[in-house]
Amino acid sequence: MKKWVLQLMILWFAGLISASAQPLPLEIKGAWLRAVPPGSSATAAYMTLINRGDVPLELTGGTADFSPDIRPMITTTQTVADKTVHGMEFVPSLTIPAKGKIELKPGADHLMFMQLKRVPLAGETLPVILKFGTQEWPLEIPVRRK
Amino acid sequence: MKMPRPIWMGAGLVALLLGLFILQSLLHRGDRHRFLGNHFDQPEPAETFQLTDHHGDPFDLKSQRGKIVLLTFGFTHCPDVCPMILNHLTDVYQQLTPEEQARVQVVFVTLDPERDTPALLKEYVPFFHEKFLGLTGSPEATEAAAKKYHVFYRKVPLEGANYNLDHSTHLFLIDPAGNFSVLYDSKELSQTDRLVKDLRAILSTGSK
Repeated sequence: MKKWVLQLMILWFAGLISASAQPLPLEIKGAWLRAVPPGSSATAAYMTLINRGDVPLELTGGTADFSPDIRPMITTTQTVADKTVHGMEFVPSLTIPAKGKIELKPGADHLMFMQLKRVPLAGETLPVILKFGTQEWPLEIPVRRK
Repeated sequence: MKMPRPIWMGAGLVALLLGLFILQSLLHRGDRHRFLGNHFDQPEPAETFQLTDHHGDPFDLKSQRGKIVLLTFGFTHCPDVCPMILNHLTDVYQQLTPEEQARVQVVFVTLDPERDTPALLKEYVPFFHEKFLGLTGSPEATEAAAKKYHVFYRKVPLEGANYNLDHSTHLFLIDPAGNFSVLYDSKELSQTDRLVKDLRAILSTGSK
């Protein structure tokens, strides 16, 4: 292989690494995880996600030692036989618009933490990895009872 | 023509009483409590149901006469709305005096009796408050109870054998006389101080 081709490949590869390592233009405020009773299989996290960048960000889920499966959920409100029914639906991602923000809050869109290996206890702060496609965002999340 | 004296006095008395009645009702209207939820002026007797509490004892709504019952339907695998409602009710309950607490019973009916056994409810419900009661029963008894309160629910399959429930999330207030008196939407319940005022308004109406 010609030397310049190899150099080009190295440069391209390095560029790829640096691009993926670039921090997301993201700010997370007021994150908290709900403390749930013993025996619970799932809980939910809430936060405000602010996108400072020029392109939308897609929150696709996450992972944690105590909950290997974290997924975005939306709360749906339907009218069935004249009754208001609340439901939840998994979505592939929650979009944080460019230069915009989204709020995850109780009774509305949230991150669902499933397959709990243990229930989070009020007062703890737990490490969580949020996923935005292939990019990751580590977060220390406090557990609250409210 | 001159009116005879007794008729004139009688008419005056009637006018005075009518005036007092109007004044009284106007004043009363000013004092009337504004409920957070949808308060029924002519409440109907609350429907009873056959379910078992988390201690394994049969639950009879009639045994709660003299107390306010705050009735909500949900399931323990619910990660968002159900714990949100129960946490609000914990907040409300803790704002009450011990005497008031003794006259308020929070009841959580599971819509998922297959998974929510009395043993699981015994772990789940007292987490919110030791005095709260969890109820479960056969799928048929659960369906019958939900139907009586017009609570809609349905299973939404997830991966494997796992599932979620879509369900209506109202809170039903049954007054101490056993009447279904106030209906709340779950979104209103974050105003816990107003819910406390509703409870006090009902408790202060005396022997009802």
